[in-house]
Amino acid sequence: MSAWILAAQRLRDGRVVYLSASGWSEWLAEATVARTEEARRALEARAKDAMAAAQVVDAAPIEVEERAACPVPVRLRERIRALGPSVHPELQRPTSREGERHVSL
Amino acid sequence: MYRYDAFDRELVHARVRQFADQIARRLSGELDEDSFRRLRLLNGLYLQLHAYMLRVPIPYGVLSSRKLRVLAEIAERHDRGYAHFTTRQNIQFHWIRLEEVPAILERLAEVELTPIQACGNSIRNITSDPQAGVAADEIADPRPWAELLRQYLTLNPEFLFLPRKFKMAITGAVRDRALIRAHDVGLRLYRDPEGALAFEVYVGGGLGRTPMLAPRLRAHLPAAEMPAYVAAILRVYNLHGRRDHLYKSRIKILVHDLGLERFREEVEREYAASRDSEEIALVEAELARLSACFRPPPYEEARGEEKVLAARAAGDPAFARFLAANVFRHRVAGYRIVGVSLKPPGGVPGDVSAAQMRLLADLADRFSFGELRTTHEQNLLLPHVRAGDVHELWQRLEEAGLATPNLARATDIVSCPGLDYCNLATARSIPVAQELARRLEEKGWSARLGPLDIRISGCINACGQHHVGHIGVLGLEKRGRESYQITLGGNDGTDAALGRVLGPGFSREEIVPALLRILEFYLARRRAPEERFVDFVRRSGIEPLREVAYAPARA
Repeated sequence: MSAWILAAQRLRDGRVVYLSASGWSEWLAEATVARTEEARRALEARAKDAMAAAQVVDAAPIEVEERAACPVPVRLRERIRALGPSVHPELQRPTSREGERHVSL
Repeated sequence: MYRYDAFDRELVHARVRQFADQIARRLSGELDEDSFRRLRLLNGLYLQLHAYMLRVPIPYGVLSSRKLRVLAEIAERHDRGYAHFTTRQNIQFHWIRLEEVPAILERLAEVELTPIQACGNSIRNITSDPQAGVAADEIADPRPWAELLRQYLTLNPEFLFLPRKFKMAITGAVRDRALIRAHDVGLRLYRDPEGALAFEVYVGGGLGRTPMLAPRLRAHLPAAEMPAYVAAILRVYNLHGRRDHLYKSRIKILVHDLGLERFREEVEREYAASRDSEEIALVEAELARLSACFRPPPYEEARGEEKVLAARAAGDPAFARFLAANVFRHRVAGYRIVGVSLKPPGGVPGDVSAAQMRLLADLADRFSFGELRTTHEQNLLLPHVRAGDVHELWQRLEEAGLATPNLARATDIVSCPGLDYCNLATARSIPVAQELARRLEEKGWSARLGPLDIRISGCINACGQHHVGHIGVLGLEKRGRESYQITLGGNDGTDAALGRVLGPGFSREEIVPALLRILEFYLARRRAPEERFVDFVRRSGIEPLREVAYAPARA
């Protein structure tokens, strides 16, 4: 079954963020998952509003696979966005605020 | 080196103030992203995968220690401690915060750097021979001409709305180290039989989606007429270039569609109508003014420098390897051009840390009259080093991991940032470069392979210039997975050629083994160690190499 989360980049610094229950979060694990087409459309509407409010740019739903600890983006591009550049291990970022990395490339 | 005058300073600072205001309006929500995108692109600012990316052109690759120290400061304060040199002599910062951009641009302006026209449909950094002014084979110095064009074409209102981006390169040497035929306009300065300076003009080159090498538009153009002639080319492009189709809007498509003869007629007609003898006289006067900025530094007379260098090399094989690969002849006796490799095996091609930048600035002050150059292969040069100082410089570079003896060798791999950073990329390119370089080192092939140009791009836009690599690798996405296509037989330089596609793509796991099989075959079958890989491909054709590359898949 398809599932989606809303990914975007924060306007003021360009950092990748995900829509969570408490607003925009830097942690992939906190992303709100949409499991139906209707829920996905709701994410799109949220994206439009957030961009109009100058909070984020390039907001769009991305497809994920649901795992217990964290949704995992289906596309490599989105996994790299979530984790940081694969060529600089020191710049890789965790997927949860506890510092865990639930996703691999 | 050219120094800003009061007009330049005010122009650049005014632009910083203008863009700072636009950023403030964007952050407040007054400007929407659609309106802001074009403004930020005209100021060198992209939105990439992880953050904003700021591209700072280094005009024709000429860099001072003072500028480099400020770039190091920006890397440390506003980025993550490093920066990345590109194939067009620019530097890029990949972790920029929009809210900090005004402060960064102010700091850059203080050292006469600006990202104006670094992106967007503008005339980009006019690139040149990294050895300009010091090359042993130089006929005339292209830097004053490049600076003249830069001033003429920066924020020139006539050319601010071109159909698409426009890249120019200029050289004044026998050997083309500026890749002029891969540019929208390529210029070669030479002396005609009467001894007068003239330009050869190439037009309609470019890599990317539709790779083309520029044909020659004009064999002989009196040098002082060049700026007006380039303007005529731009006018024809501005008028006839396509604006309805993103992929067909570069000048190469116009030249191709019209045909070279018809395009030439259009340019000559425009030029004849606009040619102005007063303007030509103005160019000559302006060039004289600018040439004064590029006078040679106060070289000292060479006294026994060559003997000192030879003695050092004789007693130290590691230094001899560095000398053979990274040190180039200089037009002044007793001096050398020293190459700094930003390609340690396993490193990220073109990346340099803030600490390394500071060290290089210090070394430039100590050994090279405070001057450096950026190269098209993502390395740096110190252009004015006394032969007797090369050994000490090498030791200092070696301590900082900047002396890999591999310039123009197999591990000097050119690579765009690829999918690790770039919004347009379809596959990663840097990890392929890293793995290949590591494997070549492990096998001890790096030196054995001799001159070899490997270039990797992470998408069809070809920022890694893979079409002109002896071996080119193009990363694509195929059914959701990375797929890598190989091209063979490309070449930059005076005998530029586009590589031929070998066949279907390889998976990420397969691409490096396939490249190693190709290289192993070459090592076994070349006529002599002097036969370069690209010459071997020309002699043998790509068929035998195709067999080798796909052998396991067919077995």
